[in-house]
Amino acid sequence: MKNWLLTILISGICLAETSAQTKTNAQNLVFTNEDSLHQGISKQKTIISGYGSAFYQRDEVLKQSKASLERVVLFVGHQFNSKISFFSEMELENGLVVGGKEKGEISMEQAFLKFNLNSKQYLVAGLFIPRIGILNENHLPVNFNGVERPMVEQLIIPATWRELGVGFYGKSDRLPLLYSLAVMNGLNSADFSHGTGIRDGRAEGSSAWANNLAISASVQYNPGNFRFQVSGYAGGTVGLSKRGADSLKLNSGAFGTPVYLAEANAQYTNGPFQGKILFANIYYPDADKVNIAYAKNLATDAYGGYAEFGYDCLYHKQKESSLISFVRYEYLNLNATIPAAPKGIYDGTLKQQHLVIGLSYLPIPNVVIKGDVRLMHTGPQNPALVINPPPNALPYKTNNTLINLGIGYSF
Amino acid sequence: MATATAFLLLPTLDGCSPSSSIFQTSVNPGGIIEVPENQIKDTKLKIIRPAGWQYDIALHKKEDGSLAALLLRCTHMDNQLAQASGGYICHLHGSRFNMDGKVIKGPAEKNLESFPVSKDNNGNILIVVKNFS
Repeated sequence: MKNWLLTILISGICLAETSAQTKTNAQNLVFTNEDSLHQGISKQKTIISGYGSAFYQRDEVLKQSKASLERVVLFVGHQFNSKISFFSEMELENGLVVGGKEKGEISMEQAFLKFNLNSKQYLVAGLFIPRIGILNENHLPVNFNGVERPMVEQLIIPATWRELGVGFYGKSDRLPLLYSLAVMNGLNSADFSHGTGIRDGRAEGSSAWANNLAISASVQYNPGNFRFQVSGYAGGTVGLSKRGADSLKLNSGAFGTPVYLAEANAQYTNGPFQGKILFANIYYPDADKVNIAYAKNLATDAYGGYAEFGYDCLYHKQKESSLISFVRYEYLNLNATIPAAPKGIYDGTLKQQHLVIGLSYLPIPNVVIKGDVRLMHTGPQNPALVINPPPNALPYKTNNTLINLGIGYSF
Repeated sequence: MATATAFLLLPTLDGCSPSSSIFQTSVNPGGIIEVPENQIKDTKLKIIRPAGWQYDIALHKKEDGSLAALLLRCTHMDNQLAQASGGYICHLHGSRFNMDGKVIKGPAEKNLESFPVSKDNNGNILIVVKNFS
C-alpha cells in the first residue's frame, strides 16, 4: 500500500515537473500577450444609451383619440472587466408620474450582473428578461413592426416580462444553436386578473414572493435565413406560507399551483422579405381553485398566435434607410378553456382577432416612424359579466378600427 | 414531411457543418492569429475562437474571394453576438449586423470592429489583432 502511494506521489511530481518544463518561453510569451490583449478587451467603461417611443391612437368605436409618450428608457451599463459587467434599463411610461393618480410609472426593466464564462456562455443574475417569445428579449421599437406590440406578446406572453433570478445562456460550437435556462421568482396568482392573462401576476423585481419559483428554458436554431425557437416556462403561483396557502385551499411550495407557458416561433429574413409566426399557450390547471380563493374569473387554458409578413421597399436602393410595409394577423383566446361554472364564466370579448396593416420607415436603423391600422374583432360580450352598467353605456361592438401613428428610437 | 423539411434546411447550413464551424486557436506572440487556409476552403464563414478571449472572430469569405475578420462583439453594450440569418444578432437588445459587420438594426450604431487580414508565404491566413483595443 505504501509503495502504491509512493509511486502515485512520485508520478504526480514528475508529471507536474514535466508540464512546467514543457511550457516554453514562447508559450509564456503567448500567455502574456493574450493577457495584454484581454486588457484591451476588458477596458473599464460605462455606457449610457436608451430607447423610447410615442404614439397617437384613434379609436373609431369610442370616437376617442389619445397621444402619449409611451416609453422613455435609459440604459446604463458598466463593464468592470472582461468577465463581469452590469446592465440596467430604467423605464418611464407615459411621460409623467404623479403620486396617487392613474398616470405613468417608473420601473426597472432590467438590472443584472453578467458573468462571461467564455466566448459562448454567460450567466446573468438580478432582474432580467427571460428568453420567451420574440418580443420579450427584443422589444425596442425599431425592432418590431407596428406602433403597438403584438397583442399575443402582451396578453399571452406578458412582455416585457422580467423577474429576479439567475439565467444561463450559451451557444453551440457545432450548430447555429442557442440555449438558455433560468430560475426566477414565480408569479403571484393573487394579482392575476380577468382579461390580462398572467400579466398582472408579475413582480417585476418589486418585493416578489419567492417561496414559489419558476424555471424557463429556450432553444433557438438559426439555420441560414431561418430562426426557430421553442421556449417554456413553469412556475408556482402561490408565494404564501403553507399556513396562508392552506387557509385558501391552494397548494404552496416552489411549484405549487403551477402555471405553464409554452411557445414556439419561426422567423425568416431574406433580402427585402421578412416573416414571422408565433404560437403560445398558457395552461393553468388549478385556475378553479384560484378563482374560489380570490373571487376571480381566470381561465384554465389561454392561447394565441400571429403571423406577420413584411417587405422592405427600399432594400434594393442599397441605402441605409428602409421602408417596411407589413401585414400581421393575430388570433388569441384568453379563455379557451374555463373552469366549470360557477368557478369560471366565459367572456367572448377575450376571443380576439387583430389584423394590422402598416408601414415602418427607418431613415437610419436607430429611428423609426410608424403608421398602421388595426382591425379588431372579438366575440360577443357575456351579459352575465356586466354588473351595474352605467346608464349611458354604449352597446358593446365586436368590431373596432384603431388608427395608430408613432415614433421610436434607440441608441 | 420530415424529408421535405430537411430538404428545405440543408442548403442553408453552409458553413455550419460540425467539423468546420469553430476553429480554436491562440494569438501568437506577435499579436497575430494564424488560420490554415484549408479552414475556410469549403465554407464562406469560419468562427475563430482565440483561447481565453470572451469574443469570437468571424472570418468571412466575401463574394469576390477576399477575407474579412470581424470581432463578434456588439458595438452597443459589448455583448457576445450569435450567427443569425444573413449576419449576426445581439440578444441583449436586438442589434443586428450583416455579414460585412454593418449595422442593420439598432440600437447599435457603429459597425463591427474588423481586423486586418493577410496571407503568409505558406498560404496561412493571418489576422492581425495586436492593435486591438
